[in-house]
Amino acid sequence: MAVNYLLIILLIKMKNKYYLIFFCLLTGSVFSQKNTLSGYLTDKLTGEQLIGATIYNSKTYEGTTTNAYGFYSLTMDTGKVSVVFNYLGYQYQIIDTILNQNMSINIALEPGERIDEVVIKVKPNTKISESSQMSEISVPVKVIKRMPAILGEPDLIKTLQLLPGVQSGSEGSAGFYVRGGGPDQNLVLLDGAPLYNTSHLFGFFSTFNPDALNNVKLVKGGFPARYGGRLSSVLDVSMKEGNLKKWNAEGGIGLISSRLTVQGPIIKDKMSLILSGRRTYYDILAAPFIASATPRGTRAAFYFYDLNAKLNYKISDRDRVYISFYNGKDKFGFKYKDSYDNVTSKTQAGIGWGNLTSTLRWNRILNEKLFMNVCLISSKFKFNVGASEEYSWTETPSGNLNKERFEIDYSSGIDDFGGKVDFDWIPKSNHFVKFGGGVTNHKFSTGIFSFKIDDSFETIDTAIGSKPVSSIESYVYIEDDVKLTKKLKLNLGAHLSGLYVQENFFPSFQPRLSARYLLKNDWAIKSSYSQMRQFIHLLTNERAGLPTDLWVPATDRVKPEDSWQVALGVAKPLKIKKHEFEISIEAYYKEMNNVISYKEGADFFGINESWEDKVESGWGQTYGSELFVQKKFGKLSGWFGYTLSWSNRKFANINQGELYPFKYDRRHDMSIVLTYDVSDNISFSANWVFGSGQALSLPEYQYIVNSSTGSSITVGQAEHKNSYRMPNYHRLDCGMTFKKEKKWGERTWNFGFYNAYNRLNPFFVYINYLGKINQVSLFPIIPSISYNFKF
Amino acid sequence: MKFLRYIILFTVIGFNISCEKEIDVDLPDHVAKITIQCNLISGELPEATVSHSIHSVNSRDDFKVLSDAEVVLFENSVPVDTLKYYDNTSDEYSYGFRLGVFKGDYIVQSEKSYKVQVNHKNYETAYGETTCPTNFIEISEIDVSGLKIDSMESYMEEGVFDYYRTGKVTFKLTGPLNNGFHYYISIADENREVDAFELISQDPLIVTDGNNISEDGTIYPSDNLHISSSNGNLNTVLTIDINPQGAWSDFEKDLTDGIELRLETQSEEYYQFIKKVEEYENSEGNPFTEMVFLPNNIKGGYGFISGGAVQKKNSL
Repeated sequence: MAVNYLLIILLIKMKNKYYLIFFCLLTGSVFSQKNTLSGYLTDKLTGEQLIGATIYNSKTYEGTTTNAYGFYSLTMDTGKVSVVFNYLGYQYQIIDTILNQNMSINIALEPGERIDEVVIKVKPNTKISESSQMSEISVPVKVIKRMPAILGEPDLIKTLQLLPGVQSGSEGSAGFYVRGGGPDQNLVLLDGAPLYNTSHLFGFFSTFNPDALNNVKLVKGGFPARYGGRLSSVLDVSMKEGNLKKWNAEGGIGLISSRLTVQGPIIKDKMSLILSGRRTYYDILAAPFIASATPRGTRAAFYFYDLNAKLNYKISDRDRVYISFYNGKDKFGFKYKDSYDNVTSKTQAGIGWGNLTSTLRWNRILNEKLFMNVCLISSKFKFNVGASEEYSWTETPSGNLNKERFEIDYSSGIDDFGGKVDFDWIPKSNHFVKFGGGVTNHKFSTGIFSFKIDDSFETIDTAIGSKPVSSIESYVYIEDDVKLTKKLKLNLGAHLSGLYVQENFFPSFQPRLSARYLLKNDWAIKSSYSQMRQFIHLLTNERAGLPTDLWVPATDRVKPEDSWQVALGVAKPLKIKKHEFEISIEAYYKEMNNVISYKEGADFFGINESWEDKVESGWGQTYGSELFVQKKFGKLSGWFGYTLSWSNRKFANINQGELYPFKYDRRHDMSIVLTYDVSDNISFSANWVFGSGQALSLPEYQYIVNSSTGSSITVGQAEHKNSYRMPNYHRLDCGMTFKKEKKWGERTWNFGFYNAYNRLNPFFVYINYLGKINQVSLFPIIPSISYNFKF
Repeated sequence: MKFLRYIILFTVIGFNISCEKEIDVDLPDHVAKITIQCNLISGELPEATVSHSIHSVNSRDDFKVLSDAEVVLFENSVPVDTLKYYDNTSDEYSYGFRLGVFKGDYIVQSEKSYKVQVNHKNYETAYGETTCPTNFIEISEIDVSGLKIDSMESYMEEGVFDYYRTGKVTFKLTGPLNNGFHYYISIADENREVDAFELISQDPLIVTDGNNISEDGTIYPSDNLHISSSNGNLNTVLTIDINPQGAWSDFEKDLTDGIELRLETQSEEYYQFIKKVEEYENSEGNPFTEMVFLPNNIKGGYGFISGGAVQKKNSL
């Protein structure tokens, strides 16, 4: 007997809030016999699992997609079936079989497009109008690698910044702002582990080495219930798992960094390993010049590196285990020695930050319809800045050696350890149920200053700052992606979470709903509603663009942040003269409560007050619309994205309680991305971006004020905060790629220009001592060249 | 701390490729407005500082004294006084100098509404309104028996000694606290040879709840002791230690006059304004702080007007 579901939705009111409660009732009914086809979908050449691939019955069009681990399950009527397996960038496969019992078939797809009439007819489920999910974009890694980028370094975050609804921060910045949210409101996951800092080199590059990446998905709204903990976006990045078939290596040598990735089977088709590393080497090359050019023999260190490693072990057809690591670090500093008379001095100073994450994952196919993923996750982020000076001299005539030392150090960070379990249950082809839960222990170091003085007068060794704070965050969720009718598809879910910190408990119930309704001619209307809650805050200084990020927990004084977002959109696949496009237009509105900002006059480095005393909680509002036109196939591919948006904030004691534009309120944001394959070996790519000027506070007038101490000071003021707009930002990047097959493998030369027409875009502006406005720009036209290889 | 900041700035600037240029920026033209700063204290003569704003890119030298401005004090909408310009330009480089001081002859009273209006031919008329509260806190039982006279050798002349008072002054504060008001205590010599005794500078003691005021404690305040209140009754004895480590400026010539205690009752708005000014002063030039916006309650102009009350008690 087959089982059907009756969905009941209740709207209840509790404590002046409304909650949607979903009930699924099982009802029995008798239908024709069904069986399930399940298994893994992988890349034929590497054994990598294909995520989000489409599988469907070519006759009934009932279908499903592979989950985040490449697993699929499709329940169909018993009998002869013809199942299509399809994935972007791969040749599709059709399996004809007689399904008279549950079957497990693992499919390996071969890379390369198979363009023929048959493909066009059997690809309806890949259309943008099919999915109930809106506000979600998957970015193929190969697209990231083909983008012209600053100094020739392909960058994931820079590519995301070209999408509608995603804005960059300052010039060159790797931070991203999604639908008016702050940089802390993005949940960035690397193989399931949260990454708290995603930037290198003061924000100019991200921590993601594209050679190590397998899949990238960005969700901006309509959040499925399995995601939680941040208000504005989820960036879910999964690493490659290692080639199970054969060893290979790829890498590149660029202007500022080089990278190497090696992967291969330790046991063929059973266990594989991938190691990927990237490091800048400008400091190594410049070291001798710096040492000789400076009278004190200065040695400077400025570099960053990323190391990714993953071990993949297929225990059996049902069980797989993965262990993955990521370590990335930035370091900037210098040291030098000096001597005068008989005194020797050593001075050194530096700033550094880094991430270390590790994930232990176990996948198990419990049965043909039920898949389980269990993870243990650890993630650490640390920021540190410090300086020291040491003097030593020999006393005369005693000959005693004396030393004096002064040392100051500031550090902060966050340390997570936790676990989660997720289940994918596909009882029928029109249901895809996900449920699970997790718990994480967060340990916050919210800024500790340590001072050490050791001289002839005194010895001090002390630390000032708050003690580390531990908190426990837990959640459970359930969601169902259900096709109610041929036209109506819903994703219903609920995310229930809570944070326990300093004897306070903050629970949260977050309903989620996405809907898609099919109209004629492949048009689809989509809508979504989601509530989100965020239990951790990021204190980031808006004036100084430094990695002085401080992660802090929600407390009784600085409560968790909440948001609700509605979105409405239309989507349609479009074909113009054999060229296929996908078009989507979305409008959204989002409100956020308890967003935080530094109080006016608060000093990030101030030690006289705790972080809670430096911040204010307030309200945020963003709304806008996004247009996205994408062409994925053909010699010419790319996209056009345009966003029209507003983003405002309101705090009781900032801007005198009046609403003001958020710093990253950009009225217009546009990007045009094109890639043209001149031939199999030569391609040309170009991006053009445009963004309205950022908001900032510049004094518009000044007047004299008497302070309580009796002194007169001149104060520069503006009518309201962020009332000034920097000049608009626009830039063209272009690049060419020349690929050649060699006996030993493949080599590729990349040539590019960042900021090809040399536009001096604003980085920041200030008023100089002559009373003139100065604009500081960072990057003029920057050529780049890199050599990449694969064997 | 400054050292660290400069290390970081140097590091960032040193490793950035930067291009700098002057740009024609569309900063809006600024129409200069009158600025007024005035704290009316009931029982005292009114005094206001009047000036004007200038564009942010202009030089400080462009500030002009509006000695010909008409500054009118209204009480309950009736003009009661015209403040006169007080020419103190000879003190321009002295500590505490204020540009554009206007002084009046009418004693301000509590529980009355006041408006200070400034008219000038070159500017739009500006005005601000406030009310002076009543002070309900009594100062009593001032005990200066703990004071003694001490001396220290002058920094300027060897063998010459300066004399100063040092020791404990105890006094009692009683009365109902009004929600939303802030209480400032200052202590000085009656003849006002020193504005306030120079005390060891410490963090000011802030009492946030009337029930939390410690009794009979020895405290080391800055020259203003500040009590923030909630509703409740104040009944406390405070001890202030004057010049515990020697006076280091402003010596009195007359050491026989009394000690004057001055308790000011100020509004929440005044407190917020003063805090913002302090925040502005502390943050100026620091790239790691957020820009500070000062409260402005002047219509047609900029600045701040507030009303307070005062209770003064002398030890003699």
